[in-house]
Amino acid sequence: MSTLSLLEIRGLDLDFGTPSGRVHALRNVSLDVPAAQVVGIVGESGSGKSTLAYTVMGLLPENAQVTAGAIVFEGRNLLDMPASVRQSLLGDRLSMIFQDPMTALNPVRSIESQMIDIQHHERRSRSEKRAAAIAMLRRVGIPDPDSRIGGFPHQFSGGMRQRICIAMALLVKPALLIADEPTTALDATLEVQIIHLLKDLQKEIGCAVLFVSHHLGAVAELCDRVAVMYAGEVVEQGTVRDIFHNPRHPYTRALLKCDPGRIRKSTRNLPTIPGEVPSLLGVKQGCIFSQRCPSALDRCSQQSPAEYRIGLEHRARCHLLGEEQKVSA
Amino acid sequence: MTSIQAIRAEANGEPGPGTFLAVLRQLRKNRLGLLGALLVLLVFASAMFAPLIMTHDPIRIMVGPRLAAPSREFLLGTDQLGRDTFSRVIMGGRIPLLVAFASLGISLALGLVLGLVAGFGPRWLDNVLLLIFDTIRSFPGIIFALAVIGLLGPSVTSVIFVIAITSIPIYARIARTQTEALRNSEYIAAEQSMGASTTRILAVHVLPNVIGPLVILVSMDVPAVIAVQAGLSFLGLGVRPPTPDWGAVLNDGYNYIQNTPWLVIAGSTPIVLATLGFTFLGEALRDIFDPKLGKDI
Amino acid sequence: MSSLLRVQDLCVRFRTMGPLKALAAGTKHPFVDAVSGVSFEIRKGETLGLVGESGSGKSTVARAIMGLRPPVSGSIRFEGEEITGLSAAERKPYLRRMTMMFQDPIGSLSPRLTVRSLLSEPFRIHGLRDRDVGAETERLLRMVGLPTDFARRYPHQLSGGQARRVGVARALALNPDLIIADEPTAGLDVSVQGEVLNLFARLQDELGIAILIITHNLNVVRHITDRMAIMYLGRFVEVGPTERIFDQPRHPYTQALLSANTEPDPDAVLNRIEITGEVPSLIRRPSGCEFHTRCRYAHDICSRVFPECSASRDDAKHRFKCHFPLEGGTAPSLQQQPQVPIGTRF
Repeated sequence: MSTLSLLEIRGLDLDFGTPSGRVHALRNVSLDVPAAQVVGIVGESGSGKSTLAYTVMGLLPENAQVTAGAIVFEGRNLLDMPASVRQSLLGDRLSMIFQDPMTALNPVRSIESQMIDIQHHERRSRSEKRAAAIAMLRRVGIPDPDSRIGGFPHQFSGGMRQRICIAMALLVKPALLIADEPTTALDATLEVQIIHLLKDLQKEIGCAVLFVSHHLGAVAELCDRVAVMYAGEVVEQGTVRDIFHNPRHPYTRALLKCDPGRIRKSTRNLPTIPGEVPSLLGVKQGCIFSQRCPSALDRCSQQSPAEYRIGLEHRARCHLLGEEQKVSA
Repeated sequence: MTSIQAIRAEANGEPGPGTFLAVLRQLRKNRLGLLGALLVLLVFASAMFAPLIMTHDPIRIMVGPRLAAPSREFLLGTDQLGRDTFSRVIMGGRIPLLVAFASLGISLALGLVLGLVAGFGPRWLDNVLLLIFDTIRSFPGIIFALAVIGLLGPSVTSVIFVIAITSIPIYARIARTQTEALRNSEYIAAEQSMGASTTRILAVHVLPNVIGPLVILVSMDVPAVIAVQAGLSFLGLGVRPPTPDWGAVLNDGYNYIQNTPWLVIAGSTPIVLATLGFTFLGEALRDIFDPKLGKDI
Repeated sequence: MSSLLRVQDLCVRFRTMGPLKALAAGTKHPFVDAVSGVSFEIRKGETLGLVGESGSGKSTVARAIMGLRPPVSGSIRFEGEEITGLSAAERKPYLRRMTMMFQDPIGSLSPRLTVRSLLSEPFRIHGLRDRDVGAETERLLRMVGLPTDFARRYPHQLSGGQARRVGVARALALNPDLIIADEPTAGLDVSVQGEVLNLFARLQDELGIAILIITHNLNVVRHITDRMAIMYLGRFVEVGPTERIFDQPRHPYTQALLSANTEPDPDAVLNRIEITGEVPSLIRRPSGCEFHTRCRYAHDICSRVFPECSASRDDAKHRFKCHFPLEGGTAPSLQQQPQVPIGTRF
């Protein structure tokens, strides 16, 4: 399985140095992104899902430090590479869409020059690059791209700008597209449009997508595989059906239960997850979710749970699964 | 939801308001800032306790040696009139500090009020005030100073007046920009929706958020003011003799530089130390409070 | 139940360019109507949801009610008394009885004040110095389910959900009759959204407060509101009881909004009515029915004639503005005659 993966993240630990101590933002994160598949990362704020995306891109702030693990992309460890080699992958084999389409584009340069610049890896004439840019803009649904390509970002609405960002990211035909909450800043009607666009384009280009979102509905619609993150750890991962139909980690279950989109009947008492996400400062003992877990055992607060295999691709980190397996064995 | 910015902000450890101890703790880590704070403290203490420190009366003309080199009796030697240079330098710190604090205090207070009014008031008022600020700023500073002192006569008051007038527009503009940025923030709208008066909004909710960067700028402007004051004294446009003053000592030293270097050294060292102290401290405070705030506003 | 707030024909206008620039450009009408002819009422203890995409003018309605954005025409009555055109001093007593919560949970709290000072702001503003601020702060924090030692914290030391609770506590400080909540769940995680909505529901049951919730999130509206109104380009297109609108939307825009909810189920069979394109600019309002540029059922008449307000045959409270309203959630037949307007307003 691992030989087929385009991106393999193995045991990744990442700390942020802060004046009040080290924040362990990612702990022992392992994740596979197979070629031409859409992998979703879901989690709430503070779960480290965006940090993970930025780590793969190598766009972390200075105080971030990878303390262990490897990020293997197309057979090479990104973390061992010289910076220049790694940088040359960006905008070529790897590209990214950001959360805020308002700030992701350079406001003082035209869409045309930004879209031509992004193709700097390719040896083509300027007019060919321009034609490719126009074709891509048309593909993402910008009306009248021939004349609008000369426009500046502020002349486009938020939804249009996100389409332009997608066009730019996919123009270079990357092997892996990283999308960090691309629909969060958009209205629901636009969100649906953008998700469909991403899905269609992904099939056309055949690239893999790492889709980071807190929106369960968007992940369910778009992704083939899902990883659920909580407080810097991947607590459960599997195919989209594993996660949404047969969630095994208590956090995944609680999260799914909370989604108001799943509650059909009108109720005055919506389910919640009591408690707060724990601080990631200092060393943590036991399962990170144990304080909020409805079915926590004694050992949950002392012993860190191992990863249990539930199905072919379905894995979760929870002591309860260990208990079950003992009983069945 | 979690953006990398949030992590960055957390990681930068921007201190919260009211965390004086946290600032001290951060300052301790910033060596240059600590040095600056020590120098500022030294200059302050020497000016404040000058009567206790000085060894002679700084304006008494003595019959002893003139333009003498440092000795046990006269720690920094004597000037052309036989006055004790050490005592003059210690006592001479009072006027530059007074000028700096009086003029910058006045311009900070007035600049803040005008800036808040311009930033929060109606558009036409903003435009009128900006026009006035720009008019004042368009005068070359030193010419303006010469003109005013020519009119009012050389005195500490006219120096304070000149520096205050020329600094008001700078602070007012910064206060205005900050106020305007805050004006549309949601918490201001929330206060308005509760029925808070404009005065209350400005005093309780805008001022505390505007004043921080301004105070830092003021502390970085102190050396410039000390230099200007010393410069005016040097030109004979500041304090009248025989009042001790760094600029005056420097001027005397300049006149007798061929006889002795000690007067120039004694007059310039405190200026250099005070300038460095306030600059280091100001920069350290800026780094602690607002990493984004550049020097070039 | 008597009417607490009645808004009639509200119009709010924004300037698009300065007077000099407009003169230079020769523009006769340098304005856009962000809100145009909006009428609704809220009864005591009722919850009304105002739903629309960004740019629909829903937040502007709230700001107009609170007096932050003076309307160009129309009337806003609080318990029968007109509150448009009041001076700040005249408005102040009304601002004790209705409060507004803004979108950003942390950004709407003054950053240099402690929670305790934030919660005592309403008392100070309204000159209630005789109240025991310490006791009031504790009472309010307990009411919203926060530990009392939170009084010493600053806004940046709170999580989004906690800050939202402080916002609710502040809104409740003076026992208002009406709370206007602009996107109360924006920026909150799903696990916390439920908490905030439950808090609203509980407070309403306990205190009988009327709530106006402004949101683009239909899931929020569904569980907490009694009635809802859907806004498009500054106008209401449909108003009615929430359950009924969810069951049988009559306006195609409502139907599209309802189906734009992504389904957290990978196998869900979605017969989604996707609307194409984006909200048109207010500067170039489409003619006729303003939704016709994105409507899948649009006919000729839709681009020419502005649809009057009509009511459902079986429920007069369910009203909508559409020439070809949907029947039972299905597409209207082409042979169907345009609706006969009943001539009433929302």
